[in-house]
Amino acid sequence: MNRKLKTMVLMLCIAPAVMAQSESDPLTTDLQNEHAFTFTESQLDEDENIPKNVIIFSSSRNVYASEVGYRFSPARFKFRGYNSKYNDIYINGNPVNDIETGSFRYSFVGGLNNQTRSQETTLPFEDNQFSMSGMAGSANYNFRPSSFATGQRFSLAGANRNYNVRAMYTYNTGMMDNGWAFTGSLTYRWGNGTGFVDGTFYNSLSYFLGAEKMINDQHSLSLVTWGNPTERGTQAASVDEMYWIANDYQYNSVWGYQNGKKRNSRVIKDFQPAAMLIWDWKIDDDTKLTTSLLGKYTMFSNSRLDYNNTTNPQPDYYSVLPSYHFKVWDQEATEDRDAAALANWQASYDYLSASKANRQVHWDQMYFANRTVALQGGEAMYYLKRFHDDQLTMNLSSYLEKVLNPSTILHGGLLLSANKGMHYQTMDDLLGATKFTNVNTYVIKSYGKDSQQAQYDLNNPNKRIGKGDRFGYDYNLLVNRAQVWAGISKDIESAHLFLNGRVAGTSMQRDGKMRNGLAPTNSYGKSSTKSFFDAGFKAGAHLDLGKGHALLMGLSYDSKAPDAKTAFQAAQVSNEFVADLKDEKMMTAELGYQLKTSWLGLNFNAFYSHLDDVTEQSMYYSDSDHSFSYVSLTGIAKSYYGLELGANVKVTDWLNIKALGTISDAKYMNNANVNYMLSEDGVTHSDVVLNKGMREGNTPLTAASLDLSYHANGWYVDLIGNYYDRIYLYYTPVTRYASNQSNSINLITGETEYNDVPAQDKGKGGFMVDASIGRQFYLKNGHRLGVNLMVTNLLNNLKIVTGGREQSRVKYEDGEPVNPKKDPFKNSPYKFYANGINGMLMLNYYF
Amino acid sequence: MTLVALLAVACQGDWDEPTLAYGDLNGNNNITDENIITIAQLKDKYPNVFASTDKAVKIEEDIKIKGRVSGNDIGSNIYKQFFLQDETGSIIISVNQSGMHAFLAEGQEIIVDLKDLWIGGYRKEPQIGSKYGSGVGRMNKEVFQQHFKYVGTPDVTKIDTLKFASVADFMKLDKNKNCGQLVQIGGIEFKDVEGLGTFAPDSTKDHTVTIKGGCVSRELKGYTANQIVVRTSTYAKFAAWKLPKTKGTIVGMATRFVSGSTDTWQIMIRKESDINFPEE
Repeated sequence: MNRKLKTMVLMLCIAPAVMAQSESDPLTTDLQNEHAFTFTESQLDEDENIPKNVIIFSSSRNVYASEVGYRFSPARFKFRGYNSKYNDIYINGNPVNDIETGSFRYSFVGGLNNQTRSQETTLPFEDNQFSMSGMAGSANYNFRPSSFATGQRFSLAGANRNYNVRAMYTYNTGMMDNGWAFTGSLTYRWGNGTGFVDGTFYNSLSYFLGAEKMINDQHSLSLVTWGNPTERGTQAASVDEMYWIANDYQYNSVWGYQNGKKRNSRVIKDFQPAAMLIWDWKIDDDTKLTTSLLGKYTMFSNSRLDYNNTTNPQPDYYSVLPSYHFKVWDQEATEDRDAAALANWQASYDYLSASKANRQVHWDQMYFANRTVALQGGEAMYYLKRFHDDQLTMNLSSYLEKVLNPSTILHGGLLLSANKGMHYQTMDDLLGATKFTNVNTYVIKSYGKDSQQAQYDLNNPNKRIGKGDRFGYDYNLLVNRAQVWAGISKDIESAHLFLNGRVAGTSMQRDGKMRNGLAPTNSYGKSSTKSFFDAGFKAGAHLDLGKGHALLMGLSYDSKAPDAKTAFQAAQVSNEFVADLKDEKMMTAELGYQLKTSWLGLNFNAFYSHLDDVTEQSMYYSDSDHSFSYVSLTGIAKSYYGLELGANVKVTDWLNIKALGTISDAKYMNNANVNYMLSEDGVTHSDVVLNKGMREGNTPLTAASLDLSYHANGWYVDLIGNYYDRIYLYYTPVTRYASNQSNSINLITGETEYNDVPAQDKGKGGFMVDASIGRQFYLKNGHRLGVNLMVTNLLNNLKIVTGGREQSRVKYEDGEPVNPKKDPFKNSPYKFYANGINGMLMLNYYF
Repeated sequence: MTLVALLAVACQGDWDEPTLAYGDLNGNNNITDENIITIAQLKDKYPNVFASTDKAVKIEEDIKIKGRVSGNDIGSNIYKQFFLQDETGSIIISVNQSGMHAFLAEGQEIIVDLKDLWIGGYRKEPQIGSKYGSGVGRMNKEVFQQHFKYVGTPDVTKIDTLKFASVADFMKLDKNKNCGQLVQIGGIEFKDVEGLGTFAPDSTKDHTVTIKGGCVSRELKGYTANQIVVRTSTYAKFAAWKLPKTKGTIVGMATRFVSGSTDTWQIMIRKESDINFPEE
């Protein structure tokens, strides 16, 4: 009995990929895959102020973890509230998280549904052969051509999601007698926002090509290349006032009509061609070495409207909304609440509600404005700029697995990574203007147009900027990293134990390509190099208590070099590192209980993580300073803790009931130090930000789900009810600087007490019902046809908030910030609402 | 080859410039030429509203004025208003909108339909707008769009500038008749100042200045601050320019500000090219 269990546990731990494939049927995997991909890509990069945070989580060994990732994806659920940078993604053991941000961008494998289907997921306290699992777990995609199911597959799908049509063709030879395996795949996705978000569009092609040669019993070489050139028009969060006026919870402010055609102002262009060489060396029956070399070149850019000497042209900008004219939130006000104010409110409302075009970007008007300004000798009033984040990455990864004896396995690996990130801004469209000069308009009021400070690039002063030219900022980030790790797993009696450890070094440097007038001696050329050493360990145990009962426990301590993206105070301006930059320290403990019987699978987990010395960064337009503000928070302490429950009850042969639930917290535990630099004078200011008690934003901290799963006669039907609550929006540090808060001294303790620190904004949760139905048809010619229909938000609940952020603006009266309760900005956070009823019909033909 | 083909798939083409003509996007083409009166006639119709205490009256009559834009916000000094001038005088039109020079270029002639708008004075300076408190304030930009119509295209040569060789000459100007007018004043010399010595420094960076309504007033040699000042917004494009030490010429809007028994000329410079001083 024991031996059997031991073998089972061993199997569970060393061969999760096999388990993943054998435990779940292909149709269910397809459905999960579609869910995850649809919702993750649609929420990527919508708004640069709302960080992208996605973890696609799926594990077959834990009832909760197996379902939670895709089940809660319509509400943009973050596993345990963790930032996605703590979830490590690998391709054949080669890490593919962005080295600058720490997070994996799922668009890297967009459209590669057939290649990413069999990902090997490792939960935070599980071991695997390719890494020490991340705080939020790890996943490994296997891109070896021989690993894909042999044959051809054609898939056609229609949807009212971020794309409307998808066609996918894949051909895999499998490992042929001559020792070769080939694979080829092509996916095309297209959408124009039909039935989805107005003004968005999607145009994406994905390719995947690979060849593998089994040289002999010991050696095998694979070469794969893939890419996903994509252009898509995005959506942005808006304020409730505008959703109300538009009578549309999917109102999208970033598009407008130009010559009668819809034009989106935030268009992402994304292409990350990659190639990977994989060498598998079976040294002997007990020893395996896997080595891979990955090269990728990322070309990512996003466009945005900008303006000069006028008001922000964003059509939901606060000064165009009715509430700008009438003090909606301050009922005691005597000014701006009279009949004249109400008439102005009405005039704004009437204009915005009169037609859709009035609520959108006024492209035609901007061209007209630029022509009129040119007539008066002025420069472009409106223009479309494009932010570029390009990156060249070379990664070498090698890991070894050594079976010492049937109960002891040794793992270890080495990773070397070199990266060059290229960050710059170009002129995408001058919108009919004839002149634009590369000068910093924010500093003009302080220093004047002809000052040295006003030059973005003193090496090319007053450069005239035309379409495609770089302006504003241009710098490279050079990041190198090396890591070694090792692990041992051992089975003793009914226990599976493992211990992993790792050490790593990271170096980072900025290389400025412009000599910024605000930092003339510290912006052009290379900065100093900062190096960080980080290390950690992770230990876990799975104790079998017999009769299907098991206990799981884990403990880890890890440090992590700060992300290069947050390492510089104002990377767009200068080479200055953030003051007091440190490694993050992370401690996590977990305890779990598992029950597996013939009719019940149950998991119950409790987790606790504490993080210290976290660095976070953001960039805002500061209204009161009339300036951009580059904000760095250091010394942040955070705690994440909660409970998770997953149960799968087999009621009959054809009916399962699956229940999931979590209640957790993800909190800032101290008031962090803040340094912010203002673009109006380049001076960095220090303060304390009163963010203690703030929560991680954009995820439900409470979520539950019940799934009635019917499966008989080749049919699969799922009816799922989900509940989301405690959804916080991203808090802004800007409105919480201690020096701007009214305070009093507690006479007893002598401590300063802050009286009106704004409470963090929340979004509304609620119920959502999803359903899916699918069937496999086995055709006479031996081919197979799969038909799936997935419908999300069947009851069309439009009021669930899926995320958003507070405004970084404060209303001042007589030079003092108004009480947050009366502040129109505090009362109007930017929000995203859940998509209404949406579905996807998919046909898969296997031949 | 494949990659080039793939990239081509994902490329959105360039956009053609909109073909809409002047007047298609702004203003109200239904406004007719009937019942046009001069700006002087308009001021005469409401003699009692331009008082030391701010007042405002709603214009109930179907009347219009026709004039040219003589000053706008291109220099970021004039804020949320523009100056309309005809051969008889000038008046400020206040609209809750910045960047108005995008559709009201200097020299643009327009007709303003006054019915239902408010006329009043801010410290005796006549303005058209909407009611704000007891006086006149900025009208909603949507309201303004319904109340004006373009006449032709901008022509700066048709704006009358009142020219004065010296400040003394200028000081003789009749405030009631001419306030709000575009003027050119020669022989201007600024008084020496402490601090940064610029037109309009921010008070956080220069503690010697007092900021009122976002502006800094600079005095002229030979005159007191109650007689005449050059008033500049801290956001003006020339706010950080050093005050000239020499004698020169300034073009700007001659506005007035009445407070108690003082009646001050406040010269608002429109843009950088309005400032002409010889090098030191």
